[in-house]
Amino acid sequence: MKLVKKYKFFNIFPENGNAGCVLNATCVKIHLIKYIPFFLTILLSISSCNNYDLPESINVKPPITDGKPLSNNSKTKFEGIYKVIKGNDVFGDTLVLKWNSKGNLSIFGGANGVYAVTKGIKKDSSIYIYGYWRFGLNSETGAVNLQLKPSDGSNAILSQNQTIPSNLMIKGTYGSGNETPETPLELVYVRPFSEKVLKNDFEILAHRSGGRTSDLVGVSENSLEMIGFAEDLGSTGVEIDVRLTRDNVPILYHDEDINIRLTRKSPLNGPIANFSYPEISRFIRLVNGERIPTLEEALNKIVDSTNLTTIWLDMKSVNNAMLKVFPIQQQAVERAKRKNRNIKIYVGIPDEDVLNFFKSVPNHKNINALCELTVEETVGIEAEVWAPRWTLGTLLPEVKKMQSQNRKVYCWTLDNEAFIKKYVNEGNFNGILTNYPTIIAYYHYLRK
Amino acid sequence: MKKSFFILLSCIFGHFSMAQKAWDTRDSVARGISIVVASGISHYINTLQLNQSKASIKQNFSCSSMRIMWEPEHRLSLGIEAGHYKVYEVQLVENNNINTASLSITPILFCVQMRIFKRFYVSAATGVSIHQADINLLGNQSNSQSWAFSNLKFSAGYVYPVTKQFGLGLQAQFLSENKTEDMIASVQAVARYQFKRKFKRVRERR
Repeated sequence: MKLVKKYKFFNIFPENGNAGCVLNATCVKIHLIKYIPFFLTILLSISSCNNYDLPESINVKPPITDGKPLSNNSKTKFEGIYKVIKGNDVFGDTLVLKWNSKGNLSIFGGANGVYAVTKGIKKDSSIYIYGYWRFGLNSETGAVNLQLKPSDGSNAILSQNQTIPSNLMIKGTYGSGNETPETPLELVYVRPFSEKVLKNDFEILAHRSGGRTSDLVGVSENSLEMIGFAEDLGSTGVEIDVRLTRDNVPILYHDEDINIRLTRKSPLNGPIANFSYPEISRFIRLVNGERIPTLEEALNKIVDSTNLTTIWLDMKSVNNAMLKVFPIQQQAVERAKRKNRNIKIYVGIPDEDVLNFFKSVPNHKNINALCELTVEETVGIEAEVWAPRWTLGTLLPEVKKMQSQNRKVYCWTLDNEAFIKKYVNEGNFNGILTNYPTIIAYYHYLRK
Repeated sequence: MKKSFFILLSCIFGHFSMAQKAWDTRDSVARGISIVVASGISHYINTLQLNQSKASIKQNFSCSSMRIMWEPEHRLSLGIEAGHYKVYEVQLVENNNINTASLSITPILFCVQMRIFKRFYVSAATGVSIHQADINLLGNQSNSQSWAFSNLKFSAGYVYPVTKQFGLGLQAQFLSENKTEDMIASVQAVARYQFKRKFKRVRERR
């Protein structure tokens, strides 16, 4: 015991004969006390590891009780590019405001893929915008409340007149987590979307029906709910993963196995192909509580309740899955035609095995296909779309060649913000597949 | 600090250590192979995320295991362990039908065992498992099998030597399945049989 005390003593203080005992006792305490903040920091950081706010937990309330919806004319008038005057810390310098077919106003920014999903209402010549903001690249989120007053140009927006006032300004506040929004946010209108953007010939394709479960957007990937959410994230099309169940029902699911990355912990384990659809639909729920949908349900949802125009079916089960998918693909196209909608549904061909099977299908040249292989193989099967991996570069000569043959070129799966900016501005792709459609939307709508 | 820690550790070890001669001859570790058969009750530590209003879960089942150990003349012994555990059974009531889904596992593990005191041992094991999901849905039965790797099992037990070769005891186990993130705790009665090592007499050469 004496040895222990002496060791500690020498560690902290120089030898001091008379006061040795007192000092020893004190120095042991100081030695431990100085580490308390360190241990507390570790404990706090461990306990707060999963303490993130999800968008659905944000308390979004309309700022007024009896607001009325905005007309389509008013909505279109204040779409465009805005400069951020206050609130640059979160929203960066420039924001894009874009309405979607669900009647929501999406706001896209350049800082960490920031975006906001909001609704707009009017009352007494003022326009109120309320919703939540979130970073695309991390889980930080909060509420946002904006207002367009008559003095800032709301009268001109609400009038039938098509002119947009030069002093259009949107003012309001935003908050972090479930805090009441109190930090000022001010936007000044800069310009409408360019002619190039309004041509509407560029596809923002969202991976796994809108985004990955692991990105914690509050909705699970490959679910009907995520398909419904995709437009709020700026998507104009979606890629969905198709697998076959034991009873040959094509369903939306990415992984080969049932696992807790994609599903809530359920009593079913092992490959998803080992279970029938009735078993899956009863015992399995996706991470955020949604059911695993069939391909037919997903396509019907896209046709009936969204404005999405492109669907990329990523065939995860090879060979016989295709034969089950073709009729469903055809039915959905017919359904879209009956609703006067021009939807393209492409069967993805990701590898040689699927390609060889596809070639063996009679009349395969009449099937809308998307080939991820070489230019020659794409031309060989007369696929409508060539989809090269983004790491191959912007491929300008090849893209030009394919487009000259009336084929589209989509590159996949581009998530890096710097490359997204480069590919949108310097590439000539017809669309880009990404896990972060909000970032692509931002750079696309900024194009002049 | 280190020095004092090692002194303390040596003292504790010395206090509990005892020469093998002082042991009852029935407790001798100088054996060859032993077979341990165990049977008992397992409890599933529930981590399933079920809609409790519609589903119920059974967590307690009987279980059994067997291990074959090579026991050299020191405290550590090595072996292989296999067993069968029903992990859980979920019941889902739907229009007077009871649909069930259950998981059973058959672990095959490499086992390291160590005597701590003369009749008390602890063991750790790792290896593969065969998972079998059985489903009964609207009267139709089906099952699915898959392999799972990197599973862990820890156990502690006490075996009383009834004879020189045969012993009875009790063990507590904790089994963790990494793939499905399932955990089971179990208590088992243990029967052990040690095959006596036969020493050959070496005649002195003249």
